[in-house]
Amino acid sequence: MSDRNIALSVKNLVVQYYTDDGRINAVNGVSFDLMEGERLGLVGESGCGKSTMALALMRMIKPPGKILSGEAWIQNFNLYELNYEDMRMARAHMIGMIPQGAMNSLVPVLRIKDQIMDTIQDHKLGMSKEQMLERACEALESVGLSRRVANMYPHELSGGMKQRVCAAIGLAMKPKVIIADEPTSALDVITQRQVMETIGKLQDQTKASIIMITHDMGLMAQFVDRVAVMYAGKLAEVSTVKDAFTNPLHPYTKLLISTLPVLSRKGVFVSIPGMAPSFLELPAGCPFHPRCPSAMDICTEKMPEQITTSEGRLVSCHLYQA
Amino acid sequence: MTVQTSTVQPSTRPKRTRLRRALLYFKRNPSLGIGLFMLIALIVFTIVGLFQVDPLKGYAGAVRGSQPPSAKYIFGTDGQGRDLYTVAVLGTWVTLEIGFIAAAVGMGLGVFLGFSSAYFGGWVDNILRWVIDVFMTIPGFLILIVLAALLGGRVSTEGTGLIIALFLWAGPARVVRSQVLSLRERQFVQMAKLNGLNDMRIIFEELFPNLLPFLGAQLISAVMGAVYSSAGLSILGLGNLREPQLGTMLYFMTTQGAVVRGMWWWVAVPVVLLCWLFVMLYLISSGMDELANPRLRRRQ
Amino acid sequence: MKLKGFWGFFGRRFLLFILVVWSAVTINFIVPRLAPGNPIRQAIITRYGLTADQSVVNSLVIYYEGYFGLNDPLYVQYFRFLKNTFSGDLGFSITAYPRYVSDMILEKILWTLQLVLPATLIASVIGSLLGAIFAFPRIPKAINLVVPLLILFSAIPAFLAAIALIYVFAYKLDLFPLVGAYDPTFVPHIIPISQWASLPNYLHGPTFQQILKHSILPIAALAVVQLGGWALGMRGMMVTIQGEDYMTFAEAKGLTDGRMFSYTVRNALLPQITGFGLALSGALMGGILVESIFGYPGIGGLINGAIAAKDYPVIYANSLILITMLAGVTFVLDLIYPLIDPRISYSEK
Repeated sequence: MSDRNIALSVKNLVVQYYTDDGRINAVNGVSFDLMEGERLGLVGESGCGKSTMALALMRMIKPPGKILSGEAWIQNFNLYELNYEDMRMARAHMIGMIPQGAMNSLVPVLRIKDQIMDTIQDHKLGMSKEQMLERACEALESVGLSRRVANMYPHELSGGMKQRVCAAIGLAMKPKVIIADEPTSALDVITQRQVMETIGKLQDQTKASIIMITHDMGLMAQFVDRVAVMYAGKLAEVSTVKDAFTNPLHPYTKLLISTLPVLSRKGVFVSIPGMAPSFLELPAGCPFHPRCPSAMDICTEKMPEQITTSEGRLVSCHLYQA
Repeated sequence: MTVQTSTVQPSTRPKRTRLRRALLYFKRNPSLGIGLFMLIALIVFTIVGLFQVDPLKGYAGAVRGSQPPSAKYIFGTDGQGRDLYTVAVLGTWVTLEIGFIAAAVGMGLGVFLGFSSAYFGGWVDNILRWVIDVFMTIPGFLILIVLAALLGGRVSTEGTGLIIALFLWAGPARVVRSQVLSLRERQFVQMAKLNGLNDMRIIFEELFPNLLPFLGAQLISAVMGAVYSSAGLSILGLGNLREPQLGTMLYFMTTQGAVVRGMWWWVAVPVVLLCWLFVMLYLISSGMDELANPRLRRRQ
Repeated sequence: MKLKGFWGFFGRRFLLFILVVWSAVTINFIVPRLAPGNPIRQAIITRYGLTADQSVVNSLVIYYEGYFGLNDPLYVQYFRFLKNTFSGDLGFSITAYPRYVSDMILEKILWTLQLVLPATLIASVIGSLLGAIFAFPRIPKAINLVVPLLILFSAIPAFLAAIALIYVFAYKLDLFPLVGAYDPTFVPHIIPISQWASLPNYLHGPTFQQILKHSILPIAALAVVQLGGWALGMRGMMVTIQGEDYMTFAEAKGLTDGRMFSYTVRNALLPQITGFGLALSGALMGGILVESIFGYPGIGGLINGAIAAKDYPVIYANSLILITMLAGVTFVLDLIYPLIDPRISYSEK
């Protein structure tokens, strides 16, 4: 994997929210590299900071939240140092987003073509109206939709069609990095698969990299190259899919894998003991230690550093500290 | 292994902190704070006033008419010889009294019908929903004019309140109905049902406390509607023209040309006091709404 | 797809409209019969004086009771009343007998609409605009100081605003006339409805100037009290829209602030239309009172005069016509709203 270039390099990202009860670090010192053309899956329990990270990478954190520190490099630009206008232009162009389209991600009062053309127009490509319309129709065709969809309103589309439209819009500007935030969560299994295949095909064509956020470990195993496991605002482990499933390093990853249903244990649901911690009352030391079966004395005192193993995997756990 | 949330027991805290917390809350919900402050100011004004005024001077011909404010008549007197200070002290509360009678009766009716509609469902709900819709669409004020015209100036304060109540119940009924419907789906009511509590007990023990702040906001806005209606009827000459009410003041003030005669004090007393009432009620009502609906609070 | 469920929706709304009108008619039938005294005898006495020959009065009363069918059984009277009302016959005025009250009201209602419609239109446009500006990104914080002022105005009824405006602008500053729709010495040139095609020719004439000069204060009173409601409603809707998923996605698409703002406005503006029926109803009620204060010759003036003269048929018919009108507006707005807003369909609930 090292023969490929780095598409996105995130360094020590910290996102802080101000609440009535104090400050919380929803993303707390995250660093990783995303390779060109790579598919990285981001997993974790609800409220672990996945979606915050997605917004932070788009630089779209709104008050009372704030990107406290960190860098996010795409090519030679640190997104957090761009001025307001440049960052706006970078969105969709350098770093794009595919949202949960089945929900409410399309503007209800505008036709689909306008929603795509507005994106193109605001990126000042100097195209004529006809060229933009043509580009919008191409984008729809690229996700397997008919050109007629361009003249429709969102409420006239099915959930799967809406998701495809969202993908078409997110990919219309051919971004280098795509963040897909649970793009298939509200769809049925068949549609899910079709949409994922479409996204994968388009991504291959444009050689973009993708960060996919999901709850669905099964989907993850089929689709992504590497898995990043997030816990309480930190990355517990980043490994290839194969390594993560066959030889997980972090105890949290091990537990996550063990909760997956297996046919031989039909009818038995395994869950991780304990609850995801509240950001307001994070335990001292490693945030996972109260639930960790392999917790040691040091885990209650000291936060483990993120280390890179000889195979190039990232892990933050005292079991592997030198 | 669950992470315990450590809440500080409120009872162990000194009282001053609670006061400070209340003040902090008013800072976040200024409508309620300012509204209550206006109410307190009005109460103080009335209490001080009650020691100073002679109720009889609030009637026509009691004092020398058309006197500008002076040491003797600090708010002046109107063209018909009422002491405006007396009217201000007493009339404000008569006006509010009409409002409260109307709102209390209307709310009572509305809450009862809204509860019934939501709770029993079926044909009761179907009929009541149509009746509510009809009453919501009819501008009650127009019917009030008809009724009041028929009764002439013979309506007492309580009577005016009751008539206005006839057209105040539909709004609260609709709101209570939808609130009960949504509350009924919540877990604690489902739990109570599973625990074998009967319907009436669920209504009174589980639903009612949850609706209280909400009903408070509704009540105050009903008072506002009633004060509006009673002042409106008075302007048309359909109120009680003898009692020293603020609406009555407006009627005489406009029909007897207080403005063209340059008697600014006659204009100012009812207008300022009514504005005070309306703004006060509006602020309290929207403040209580905010108190009742935490989602609104989160948004801001 | 859009029209799915249209007829069910139409049926329910139309039934509501009919029920509202029927309730109003029925109230107008019942209420006068609850009245103490004999209205016909009173009308005759008012007309001929108390000194009139009693036997003549009595025979007149009997004649007119028969003429109006007051001796028939109540249900016969009721159905006749319904039939007459729905065919547009609302009876005669007592003071201006034999004028039909419906004629009197239709003549006056134009004056009222001439105040109420511009006031509501102006308030809705300016209010929505203000509400949108409040929610503009990176707007100077100072503009938030206007909000308490708007809240203040939205709590105050139009008739109080009218009194304050008269005192300041008409009496103190003498910028506008105090009362009426035109100067007392002026004879307005009122155009019959049949000649309204020539209306533009009159827009520069003295009648127009007179009416304009006299309308400004009442319109201002009716508009200023609505402004806050429109603005706060719009602001609330803007904030809600800004929190929607599609606005997050719109930002992720790299749209300009201006484009994002226009998206928000377009989504927030449509629900404002639903407020129009209610606002019009409120403005009409307020208008009746504001007219009383300004001595304006519209519906409010008519009601005021009718109350003073105890001309009950005029009062009843007034409320009936206004209720029908407002229910009609609500009905039409309900019907067309789903056509304008693609988010709403007729198959509700």
